[in-house]
Amino acid sequence: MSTLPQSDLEDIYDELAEAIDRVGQDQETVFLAKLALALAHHLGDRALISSLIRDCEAPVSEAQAPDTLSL
Amino acid sequence: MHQPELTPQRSSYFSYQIHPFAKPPEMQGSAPRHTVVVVGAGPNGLLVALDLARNGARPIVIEAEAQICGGSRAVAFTRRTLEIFEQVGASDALLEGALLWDKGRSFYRGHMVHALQIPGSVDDRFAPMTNQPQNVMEKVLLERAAAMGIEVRWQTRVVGLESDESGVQLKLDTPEGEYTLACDWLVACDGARSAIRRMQNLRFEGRAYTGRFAIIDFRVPLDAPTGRRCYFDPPWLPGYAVLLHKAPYGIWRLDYQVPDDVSDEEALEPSRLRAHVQAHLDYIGANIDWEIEWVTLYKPNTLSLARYNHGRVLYCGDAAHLLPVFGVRGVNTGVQDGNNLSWKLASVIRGIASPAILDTYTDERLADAQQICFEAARSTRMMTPPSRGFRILRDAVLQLSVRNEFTRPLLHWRTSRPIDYADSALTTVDASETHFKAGPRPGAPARNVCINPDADSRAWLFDAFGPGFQVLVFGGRDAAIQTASADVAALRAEGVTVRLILIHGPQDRPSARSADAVVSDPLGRIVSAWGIPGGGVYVLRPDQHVAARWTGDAHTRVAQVVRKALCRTAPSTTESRQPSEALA
Repeated sequence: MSTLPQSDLEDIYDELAEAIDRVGQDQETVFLAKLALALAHHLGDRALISSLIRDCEAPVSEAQAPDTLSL
Repeated sequence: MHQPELTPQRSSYFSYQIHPFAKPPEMQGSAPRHTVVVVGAGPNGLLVALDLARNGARPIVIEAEAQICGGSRAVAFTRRTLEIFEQVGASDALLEGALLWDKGRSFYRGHMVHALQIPGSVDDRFAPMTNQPQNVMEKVLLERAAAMGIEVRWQTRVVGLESDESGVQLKLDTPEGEYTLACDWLVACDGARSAIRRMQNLRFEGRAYTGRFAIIDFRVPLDAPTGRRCYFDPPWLPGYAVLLHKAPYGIWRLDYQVPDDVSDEEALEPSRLRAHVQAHLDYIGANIDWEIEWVTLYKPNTLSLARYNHGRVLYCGDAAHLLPVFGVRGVNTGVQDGNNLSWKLASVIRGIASPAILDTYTDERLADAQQICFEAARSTRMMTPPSRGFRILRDAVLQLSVRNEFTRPLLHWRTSRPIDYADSALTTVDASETHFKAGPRPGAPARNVCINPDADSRAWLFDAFGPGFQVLVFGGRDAAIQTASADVAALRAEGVTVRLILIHGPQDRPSARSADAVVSDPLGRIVSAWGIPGGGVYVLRPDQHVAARWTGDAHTRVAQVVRKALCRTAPSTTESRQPSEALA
């Protein structure tokens, strides 16, 4: 499977953010769900899509106060 | 009558000095005409004055206040800034007591989501980042200016300006009354709220962001390595970003976005500032006493004048543009402006460059400002998302980055880097350019090289450099050296300061011909870093950017390259004026 080059990912970041702003707050969830379905259709890998759904669903835990003073 | 604050600013680590007002000749019956006046004795104005003097002009500096800046302000300087300080003889003093660093870490909810080590090599004389508060930096520059005999007129405020095609007349207010001063050229280094800019009715173009950042310097005996620490979404400031930096002299800096519903006044309330510092120290587990040193409120902007040269008035640093400081782009950008402007203006004053060269100051530095706005726009979108869409994307990237590698590069904070003036009208690109596999490209800043990395006492290529243009001849071939020497002699006869430097690689026969400096490169480190194994020539502008380079068999000549870099086509007939000995 090919992945997106870094500079394209930067551009997609901006495009997505601007699209969310355009559709407005009450439509943003549906917009993102539509996009996810369309991407799943084009990706065509059932197992991978399910595993990505589970990954993105998992909440980020608050870790112990990080040891941020050692660099 | 102008009455500046005469009480020294308070600081726990820096002792402020009040500089007295001294009656100038203009108030004692004489009316000398000055070639160039620099307005503002901040880091930018002092650097410009030093660099003008290095290039053979005789500037004076005018400053409204009686002391240097209050607080630490700019605190991180790039390698390029240190190299420019080295050119004006101030790098050693700036490094005294400074902290050096090259690492940054970003955290999100206790997880490390981005780590960056700024690359360095044995050829770097200076660290990628040098931390030193701005007041110390200004003191270093001021002492250097005094050593160079540059006059600084303290407690002198510009209250009027008239300019025409031959010069500028300033009306100045002082504690002892007003006087007028006449000069050929004026450099405005009077900062973000430039009085000169206002008097010329010039306006910034671009956009101001709505986000505001509070900067708190506090004294704390916290022992930890220097570096950039970024905390997204800390429990005490949910949804926002916080930066923590170590400064010298026991000072740390906390820098965070002020939530939109908090007013400027509320943001600066001492109780709120104290609560935030304590909350962050609690969060990172530093149970330790501290006290506030200095605070300010900062608003990131991407604003710039459309041009930086307006007839006899030139704008530099914050007076010319307000750029986002993310990635240390404030003072470091201004220092590069000054380094670009100084040799050009000094060359015009000395009659060796066409005044058209000042247009290239605008062109080259505007190109940098645009690159900075483009790069900083992305850092700014990450640090202060401008809309709901960008906030959602930022949060998505942070959450994904906890367990995924692919989103982490989006958190790169893009440090300021020197621009290549590749498209500049001053740059010559020779047909042999395609033969180069390495080395600084035409327009790029020169690359320092350590000649003997394993020796106890290190020697550097830049040690051989002096004021003016540098002509570096590689390969030791007599014919090439003879041609370059003849051109250097012709340029000198026109009043141009040129330095001829021979680089002797391991394979080269030492030439009997004389030069201003001969650099022995027994390990071939310069030859390989500059990509010129078969011999050839590099010509550097006085700001050390490459004017041209070519390999041995090219037909490009030093004289034509230097004349082009001075915006001239034919030899100048102007009487040559060498810099005086004290300034050379």
